[in-house]
Amino acid sequence: MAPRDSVSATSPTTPRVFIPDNLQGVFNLFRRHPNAEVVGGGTFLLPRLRLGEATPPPALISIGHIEELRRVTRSDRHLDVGAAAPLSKVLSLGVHILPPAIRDALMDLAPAPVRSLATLGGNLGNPRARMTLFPVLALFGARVELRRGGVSRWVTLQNLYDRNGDKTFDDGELITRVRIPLSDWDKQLHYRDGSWRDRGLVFCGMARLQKNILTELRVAAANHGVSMYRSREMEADLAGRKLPLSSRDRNLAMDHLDNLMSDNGNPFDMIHVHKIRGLVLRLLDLLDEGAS
Amino acid sequence: MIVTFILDGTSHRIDTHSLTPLSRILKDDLDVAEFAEPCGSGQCGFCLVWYNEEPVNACLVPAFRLRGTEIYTAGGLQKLGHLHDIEQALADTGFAPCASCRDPLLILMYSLVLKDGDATAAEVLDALRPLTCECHDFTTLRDTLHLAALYRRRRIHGA
Repeated sequence: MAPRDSVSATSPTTPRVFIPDNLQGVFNLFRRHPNAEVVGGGTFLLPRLRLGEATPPPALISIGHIEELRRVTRSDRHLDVGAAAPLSKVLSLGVHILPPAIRDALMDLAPAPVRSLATLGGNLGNPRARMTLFPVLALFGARVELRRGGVSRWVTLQNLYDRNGDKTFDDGELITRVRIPLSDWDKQLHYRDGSWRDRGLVFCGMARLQKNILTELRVAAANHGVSMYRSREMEADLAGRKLPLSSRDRNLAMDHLDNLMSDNGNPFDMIHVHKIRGLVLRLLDLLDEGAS
Repeated sequence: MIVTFILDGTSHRIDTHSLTPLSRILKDDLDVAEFAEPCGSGQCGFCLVWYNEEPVNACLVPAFRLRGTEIYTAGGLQKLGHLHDIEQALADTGFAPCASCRDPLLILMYSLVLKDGDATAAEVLDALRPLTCECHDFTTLRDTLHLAALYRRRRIHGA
């Protein structure tokens, strides 16, 4: 079906808005209008324009109603979320399906009325919002489907952007799906401070345990900078340790954290560094809970 | 651009700028909603409407997203009798939110009553997040919600 070209411009600041019926229509429009901005939920569009943080793009392609991009499906192993699926639809899966850390991150992202509009694709594609969900999804090993025309490829979330926060995918490629592995994590901790519009601290930690042994640990923090911070050394050194952790193990973890936080490029202020230390200690306490 | 949508059960066709927020269309073009001036960024919650079966901030919805949608204001839901259980519960608990909060609270309560009847404490707190006014509190809202849910169950399933 050919896309409906819905409207024409009425002034230089009025973007042409296209509302294609399907994904193929989106790619056809992308070819004809390479500078067009793709909008799913659009929750950032009007506030940005109102605050003068952006000028109206020459053209908009609205994908919020394309059924293929609104689907949320699950198998035993993973959850597939269409890029234009509202976050409320993902949350409606319920506590028995959605991992607690992801559920918390979605709930903390925005109030319910905004979650009815906001989408996962929009969040991950928006530099100002990305670091709210990115750390938790990256720790879960989420992958993203990128499509252009009939060609699709999957990349890990970490590889979607480089260290400077610049996108690594090509112009004309569209985030169409996010695949979140549903593997079991015994302990999960998510924290976000500030109100939902603030550029606050985001922290996520998760661990797998087996018979009082910490078999795997993943910890990340971000504060709406361009990238998340993760201490691979701490994760590697603590894996395989017996629970409850000894004071030596705890000191080792904090030493690795301090090394990471002393990195000149890290975006955290002193308050955030202090909070991150507290959150890591809380995570370590969580690991010890129930260990004999 | 020309957009056609259903508002409070009536079909509307309007010619507007593609980026005009729904809150502005309701207030200026259709003269149907008496919003307190919304923040325009989805933070205050004063402009909540029932949009395609979910509560949303009208200030975040651009005109180009209205095509084919079904929207209800709190006043519209009230006229159509959808808020009967909630209004009865409000009267019984004596809960009287201020003029600015009344409509958005009705929309939020409607979404919670429809969803599962007995909202958990976490769901009530989450629903209250957009509205930080001192005219309402968690306990009264939760009690009113539970009562509204009870009235709804009785009405639908009998005593």
